[in-house]
Order: sequence, then C-alpha cells, then structure tokens
Amino acid sequence: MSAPLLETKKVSMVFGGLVAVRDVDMQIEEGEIFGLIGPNGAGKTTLFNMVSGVLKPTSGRLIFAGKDYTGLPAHLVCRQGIVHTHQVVRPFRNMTVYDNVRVGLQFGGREHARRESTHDQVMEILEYVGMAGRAQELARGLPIGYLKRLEIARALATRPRLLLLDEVMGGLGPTEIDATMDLIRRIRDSGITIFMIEHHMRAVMGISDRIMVLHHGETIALGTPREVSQNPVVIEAYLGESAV
Amino acid sequence: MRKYWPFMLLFAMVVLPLFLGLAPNLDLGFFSYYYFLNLGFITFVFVAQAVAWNILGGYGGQISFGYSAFFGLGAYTTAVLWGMYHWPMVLTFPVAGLVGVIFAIIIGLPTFRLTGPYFSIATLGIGEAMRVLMLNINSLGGASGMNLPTTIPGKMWFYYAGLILVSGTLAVSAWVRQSKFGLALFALNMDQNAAASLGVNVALYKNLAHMLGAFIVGMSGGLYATYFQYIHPDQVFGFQASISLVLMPVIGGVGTLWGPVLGGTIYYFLEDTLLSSLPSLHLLVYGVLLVLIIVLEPNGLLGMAARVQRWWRARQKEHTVAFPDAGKGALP
Repeated sequence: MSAPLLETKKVSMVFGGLVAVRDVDMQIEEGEIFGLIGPNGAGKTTLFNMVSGVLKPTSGRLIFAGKDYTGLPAHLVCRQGIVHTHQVVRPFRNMTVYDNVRVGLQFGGREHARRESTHDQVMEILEYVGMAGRAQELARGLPIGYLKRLEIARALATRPRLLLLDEVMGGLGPTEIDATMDLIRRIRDSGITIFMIEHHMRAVMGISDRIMVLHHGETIALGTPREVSQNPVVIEAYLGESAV
Repeated sequence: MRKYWPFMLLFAMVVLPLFLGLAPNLDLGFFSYYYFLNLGFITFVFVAQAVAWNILGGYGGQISFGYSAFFGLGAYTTAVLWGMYHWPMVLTFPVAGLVGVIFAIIIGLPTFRLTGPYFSIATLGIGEAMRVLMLNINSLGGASGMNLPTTIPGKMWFYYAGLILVSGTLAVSAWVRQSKFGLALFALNMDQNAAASLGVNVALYKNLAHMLGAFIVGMSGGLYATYFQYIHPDQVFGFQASISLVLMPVIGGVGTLWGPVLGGTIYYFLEDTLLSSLPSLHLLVYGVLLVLIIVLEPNGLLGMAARVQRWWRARQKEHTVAFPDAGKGALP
C-alpha cells in the first residue's frame, strides 16, 4: 500500500489546562472519504484546525503527502493542497458569489491554480456545485443552504488534494442533505480526498469509507461505518453507560 | 458618458486655472485667481492623502491613526535634503515617500499582529511619539521647527504638482480595486481567517497596502513642506493630521474609490470655515460629525446618495409600475 495522503503522529492540543486533543494518530488514504464523529466537545474541530494550519499543535507531527508541515501558517497549508470549510459559514459577505470563488482561485491551491484565474474557471466551479445562477448575488443575501455550498465552492476553487468539511450538513433539510451527499461523492470521484466532521449519522454512515470516533480528545474507535456503529465503546460514549 | 466623467473632471481641473489666469487680478471679494490656486493645491494634497489612506483603511478595513508619521517624515525628509543638503527639490519627493515606506515596514511588523480595534489603538501613539521625538532633536530644529528655502516655483506650479499627485493616487487606487491585490484586501477586510484559509497571505497584503499608502502620504508631506516653507513637529506630526486622514474617507464613504475625494474636498472647506468661525470648538464639531456618520450612515455621503437614489427609484416605480391602470376608466 502506498503512503497515506495525510498522517498525524501523536498530535495534541492543550488550551491552558484543558487537553482538547490527546495523542491522535490517524492516517487518511488518497481517494477515501474519511468521517470524523464524536460527541460535542470531543475535539473534532480542534483536530481539523490543526490539520488546516489554523492552530499549531502543542505536540506531535503533521505529515501531508510524505512532507512534515507542522507549524506552517494557514495560507501556506492551503497552497500545499489542504483546504477546509467552516462549521459556521464565513462567506465574504459583501462580495458577490463570483468574487468569493475568485479568492480561492487566485490565492489558494498549488502553483498552477494561482497562475491563471479565468471567468470560465469560476463559472465551472459554480456550475459544479449548482450555483451558477447566483454568481452575481451578494453572499450576504443567500439562504443558509447556498452559503454552505459557497463554502464548498470556494474551497474547491483552491484545487485541493484534501478537502476538510466541517459539518456541511448542519441546518440542511432532508433533500438538501441527499444533494450534498451526492456532491461529496462526486468531489471524491474527481480525485479529491475527503475528511469530514459530521453529526448527521445517516449522511456520515452512508458515504464514509472509514470513520474515526473521538471522545474527550482521544480516538476511541476507527473502522468501517458498520464496525464503528456496532462498537460498544462508541455506543457508550454517545448514549451513556446504561445503554450498553 | 458615465465612464468618462473622471476624465472630464480632470480636464476641467487642468484648464480652469488657465481660463482664470486670463484675468489674474480679478477679485470678487471671496474669490480670486490666487485663492483658487491655493485652495486647489491644498485640496489636492489632502485628497491624495485620503485616497492613499483608503487603500489600507477602506479596502483592507485596517483603521490606522498613525499616518501623520508618514506625512511628517516626508516633510522633514524634504526639508533636510533640500534645505540642508541642497538636493534638487523635485528629487526629494520620491525619497520622502521611501522614508515613509521604510517607517511603514517598521511599524507594520508589530502592529499588524493585532486585529480590529486593537490595531487602531496601537497606531494611536505613533504620530504622537514622532512629534515628541522631533521636538527634541535640536539638529533638525527641535521645538523651533525648520525653515525651508524660499526659492520655490509659483503657485501655478504647485497647483499642477498637486493635481498630478492626486490623479496618480486615484489611478493607483482604481487599479488596486480591480486587481488581485484589491481582492485580497477586500477578503481580509471581511474575514481575515477565512481569507487565510483560502491561501491569502494576510500579513503580506496588509503590509503592501500600508507601504503604498505611506509612500503617497510621504510624498505629499514633502510637497506640503516646500509649499509652506516652514514645518513644525506640532503641525506635521500633530494628532489632527492623523484624525483628518481618517475623517475625510469616513465623511465621503470609506472603502469606495470616490468617497475620499468627496470627503477630502468637503473637509477642507469645512476646516477653512470652522477654523475661522469656531477656532476653539472645531475639534468638537469633528467629533460629533464622526459619531453621527458612523451611527447613521457608515458608508458616508456616497452611502447616503445611494440610499436617496434607491428611494427615488422605488418611488418612481410605485408611481409608474405598481398600478399601471390606476386613474383610468370610470368607477362602476
């Protein structure tokens, strides 16, 4: 088997006296959809923020495509090919949808993406996520479903190798969830590896190849959706001891 | 037509003094040829600074109260190079700008680690620190200020020099707006962390915008010093110089291309009137004005104009579209 695309080696994050993430070892293979679940406060977003360079781990190493990038600032992590969406959407509110995508195209991703940014490329991405008709609208006027898509569109514009999705299903209705699951599968099929945090169990169980469960900052289970959902430790973490 | 009006404005500014110059001794009491040239020059210099401030402050959203440092350093650079070392006057202006750029790098590196209001607060002391420093450097005049050579070109020369400075600055500002550089500034203005996560080198673009603004404000400081032939730390590094740079774009419309032009023009007239009629209260008037604008219309006069325009269009629509058949036909 080839080397994993992303590897974390005993990464930990300590805020003051609180250990948010403790010694997490993880390997994500190229081309898979890797789900990350866990109860609230388990440290999922903290782990994401370390992988994307927003936070520098207190200890441990981060390796992407065989290269150690621990401590690299966020914008350079993005240019290596790792991009993330935000749990609470953070569009550039007073920009058009079009310009939001243009930021990703012009600045993000690996070298080739930064050299040229054309109208066609922007529109291609907007069509891909189904937002071409809203290109000239201001981001601040969009409903939440579209804002979630815009997060994905902007991230895709950086031409990533690894896409980190932080609860993209949150706040969506059942049909929108199905459409987003379909979109995520299409993104994976186009060659982009997906690492996603998701609370919506049907979605995450339905599309993940493997799932990791985090509880109190530590990995308590790792495996296929089927293995994880039958794991007694996981059931206990979610439902409490009496449920076992 | 809409597209060409900036060039028509520029053309008017170019030919107006030539036209008025046909009767240079005409005095209408409040208005004369020389008054016009004087007013023109000072307004151009103020507006150029406001437009320059707006690149980082408006597009990038980083409100700095420290720009008087660049203005004063530019003025002193020209005073030293021209007055003491006898450089050709015009050559000192780009050097004045470069001194501003170097100082912008020095203060940018620590202050840009702060965001939002913390950045603004950190910049509050910069101009003041420079003022106190210059008051105590006796080889540069200290508290008695510095005299510059009096061998200066005529008012007409200054009028056109100011016009070139302001047009150049506006062209730069217009270019930034539509460039990749501008896109980065707008993005980091709206959400710095989101911009960084999409690959925008936030620190780099903030510093570039700061340096660009400092260059223009430094040059305008040099030009200002040659015009007035005398500079004093209280005047060129004064807090009011910094405040006025923030006020001009805020009055006109912060973050827009033409807002600082409108704001700067109005500001200078306002200052001229206020200083003579309410000399002790004029700072209070600015304070009240600033609060009112920020509370009522954060987008300044241009924002207000857009609001009036929207209201007017809506009104027109109401009358012509909503009930197209109203008033026609007879009641049953």
